[in-house]
Amino acid sequence: MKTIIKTTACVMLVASLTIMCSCNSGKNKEFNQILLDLAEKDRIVDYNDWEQIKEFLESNKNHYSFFFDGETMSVESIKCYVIDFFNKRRTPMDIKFVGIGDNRFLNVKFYLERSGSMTPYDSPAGDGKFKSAIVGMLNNLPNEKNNHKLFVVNSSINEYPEGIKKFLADNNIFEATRGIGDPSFTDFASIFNSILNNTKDNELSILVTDMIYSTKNMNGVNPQKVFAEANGMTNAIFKNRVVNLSTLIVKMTGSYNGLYYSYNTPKGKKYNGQRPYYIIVIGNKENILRLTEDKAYFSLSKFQKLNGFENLYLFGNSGIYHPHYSILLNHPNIQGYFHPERGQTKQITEIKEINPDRNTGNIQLALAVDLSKMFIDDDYMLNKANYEVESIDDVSIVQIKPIDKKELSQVDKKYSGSATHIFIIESQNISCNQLIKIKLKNKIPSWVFSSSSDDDSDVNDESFSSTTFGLKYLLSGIYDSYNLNTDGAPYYFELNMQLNK
Amino acid sequence: MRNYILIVIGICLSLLMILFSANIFESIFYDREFSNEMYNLGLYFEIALLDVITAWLGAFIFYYLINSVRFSRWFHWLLTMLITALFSVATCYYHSENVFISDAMDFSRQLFIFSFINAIVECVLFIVASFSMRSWSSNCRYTPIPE
Repeated sequence: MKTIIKTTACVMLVASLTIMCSCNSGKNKEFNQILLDLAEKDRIVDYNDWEQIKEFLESNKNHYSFFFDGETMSVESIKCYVIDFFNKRRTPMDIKFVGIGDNRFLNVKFYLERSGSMTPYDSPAGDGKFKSAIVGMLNNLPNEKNNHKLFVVNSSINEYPEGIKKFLADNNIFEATRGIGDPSFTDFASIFNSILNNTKDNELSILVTDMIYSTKNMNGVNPQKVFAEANGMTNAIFKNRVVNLSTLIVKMTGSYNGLYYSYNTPKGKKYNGQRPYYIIVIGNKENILRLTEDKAYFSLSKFQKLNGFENLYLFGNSGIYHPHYSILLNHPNIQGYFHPERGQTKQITEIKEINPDRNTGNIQLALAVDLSKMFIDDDYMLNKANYEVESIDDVSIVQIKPIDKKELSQVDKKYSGSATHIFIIESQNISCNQLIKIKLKNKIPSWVFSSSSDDDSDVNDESFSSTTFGLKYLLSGIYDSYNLNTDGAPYYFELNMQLNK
Repeated sequence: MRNYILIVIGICLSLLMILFSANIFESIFYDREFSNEMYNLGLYFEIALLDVITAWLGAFIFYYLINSVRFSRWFHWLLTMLITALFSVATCYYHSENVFISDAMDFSRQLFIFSFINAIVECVLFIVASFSMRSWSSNCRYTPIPE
């Protein structure tokens, strides 16, 4: 009898332990499956994904008590678990977190220049492009709590008291802000100073301006003196803050109907036609990157879709972007022989035993690169002359072409991931082990120089409709500030390949 | 003493096979994409481990579980070796293919070639296991080759 009782007790204990263990592993499996469903495809955990993860953990708090610090959920420990989970998969992958925790949305400070030379952009006789672009951009801002602020800037910086919603509803945006500040000149020094000093970590600042540098009394002043002052001003103001901030400048065009005040004509000249204006976005590097990575900000990041868009340029510290890239193993453009180094599970960047092709005598590699989600002009990125190749042997970029998924094997599709283009790299010989660095140079683009004029007195000149007085001096000052914080020539991103003989 | 040395050598060779499985397999058959994925997915290690376990198990079954005078000729041993090799190859092929399919990859042709290589490796491991453990078999210690 005792034996029967003991045996039954043992069996029941083993059964309970088995059930408990299977319940626990069942819960883990369920959680892991949720993670796969949410993040395996796009490799991003965004706000919505995060809310689902939170909901699951809160409803299974007893089982996941290690994710909680008392009643508070620990964001860092959950992030560590998720990163670890995806790293340990048979095919490991890197996961990004965007807009989670308390940082769902960025707060935006919108600065509208309201000077005498800006009001004609929204004239009743105009084509409405200016207002359409501003309204389009502001409507694309996500934020349920409406923490955005609007400032009117000219000789001073003043908050628009009635908020962005009211501003957008007004028929004439400049009429609604009449009487705020002194519109006779724009104090760029204090505007940029204020923006750079007051843009916090979870904020973006957007300035809409004609970028015409003016001082209170410019009549009779040599324009070269004005340009030197403009250049020095932006350089001085930006140089102390560029370590943490990136600056995006977008050139737009819109109709201009009214008086234009050139540097030597304080009374103004009537002009009806197209004129450029600029949208300047300033934020820390993570927030600028977030605009193209967070689904909530995709619409805002598409400046190319704004009515009147012409060009854009990103000022930033070197290496602001880290695009995904991988050497392909089986592509029609490959010439020569090589083996990938062992243990590369997410991307192929190291190869060995490289030998030239027996027929052509060349070594050609195909490098798949993701050139999307960057604030860089497409034509600039696809021009191989804008790349610098550092290597011991003579290595060059032969071609940059869009990726054709049909040409890729399953394995190459896995490693290329979200790659959009293929770089064909060529060399006659790899004589020794070496690290090849391919950098996309960050130069002031040609459109900045072609959009700048040293003399805006003739409104009938054919370049008047597309140029801005002294633009290149202002922007060069900003560019030089970023340069001061860079070792060597500045670059957007760097692709490294280790080639071993 | 000699028998113990043989078993130690057998175990060492088997361990070397497991530890250097990638190098050994790739020295016989190498395809850039296939070999890279076999290594990254840990399949070389898994296949080598399975080969070693199957070889030693097959040899153990012949020499100690069957251990019959009526089943102790060299062709009986050869039959056991072939069955062991077939089992190992089939299991490795099936397992590898499943892993590749779950990663949306198709290496049928390369796996087919690799299976031939694997069969040869399995036979070699079976021979090593046989000579390592046969000495203690009461009825089969002289199979396949008398000492």
